[in-house]
Amino acid sequence: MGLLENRLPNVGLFKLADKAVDWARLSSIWPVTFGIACCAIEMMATGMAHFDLDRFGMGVFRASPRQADLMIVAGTVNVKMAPVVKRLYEQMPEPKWVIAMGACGVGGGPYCKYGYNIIKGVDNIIPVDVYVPGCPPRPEALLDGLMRVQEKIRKQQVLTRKSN
Amino acid sequence: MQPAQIFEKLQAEGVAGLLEFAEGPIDPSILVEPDKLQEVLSVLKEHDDLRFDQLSLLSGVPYEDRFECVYHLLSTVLKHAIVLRVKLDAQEPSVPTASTVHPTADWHERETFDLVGIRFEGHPDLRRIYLPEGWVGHPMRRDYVDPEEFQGIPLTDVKREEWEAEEKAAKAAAAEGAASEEAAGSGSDGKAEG
Repeated sequence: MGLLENRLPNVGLFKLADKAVDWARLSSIWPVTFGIACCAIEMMATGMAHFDLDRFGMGVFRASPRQADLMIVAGTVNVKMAPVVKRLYEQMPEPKWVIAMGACGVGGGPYCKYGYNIIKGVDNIIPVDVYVPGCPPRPEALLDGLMRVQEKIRKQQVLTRKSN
Repeated sequence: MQPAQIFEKLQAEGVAGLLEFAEGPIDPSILVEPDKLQEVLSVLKEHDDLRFDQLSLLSGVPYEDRFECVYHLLSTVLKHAIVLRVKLDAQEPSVPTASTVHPTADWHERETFDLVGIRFEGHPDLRRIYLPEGWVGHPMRRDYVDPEEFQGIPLTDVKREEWEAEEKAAKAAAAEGAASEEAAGSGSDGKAEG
């Protein structure tokens, strides 16, 4: 929040202000369209009618990383794709979160032993907040992961001072 | 036309560079000399009875003592198919490009160069197509060793290797425990330890 970040004392109304900011952030997390491989299909399924993402406020997938808060790395990351993932992550403005979706993003997936061209887990390139295992994870699992990101945001102290 | 008939037709036309005809249950193939490859391919393409206008597959095969390049040709007009093979040197495999006759060979030869390391002379743009630039080695060769990292990005799965080492140690300890129990003659059920 710039000048106001972690400045206010952690009492009363300021706590409420914190909660309001957190609530605003977690109710409108805008993901960037980053479906690389098969997990993208499950991500699309989660966004579609049956397992709606729009009711969480996450229905708008932004095409540009500069307008997004969340990067769902859905799919296998090659060595050739790794600099692109890093560049797109760095283009996202703060605050930003990352979900590693699927076995490939979590730890290399089925390619973890003999895949010479695969990054074994996207956390070798960018910092990850939530890991969603599965190959591919069911939409309910991805929704669980997204709700955990919401929990993470809910606990953040944005305006109030953090106690040592 | 059957593959044997195609071979006889080529021989009757006086095409040079045909070495032998290899019978086989799946793909009877014609072994061709590397230098005469482009000539054989253009005869196969242009002759009225042969008309092999499609190169469906071009692949490099690494054996222990040599490399081979295999060409699957298909005729969409006359509906027959043939396989050509070229035997290459083990140290520096190199063959004239097929892209002058069949332009689709361009990317197939780039793939073969990328993964197996066969050089194609006369190719317009021979560089890697799957692996990133700066990758060292050709992964589909028999002596290839997976790299540990590439330009700073780690490529080994450290956590899985540690876990596998722990499992091995635990199994070895369990086997030792079972062996010492049997030696002591305790009479317990040895199978349960495995």
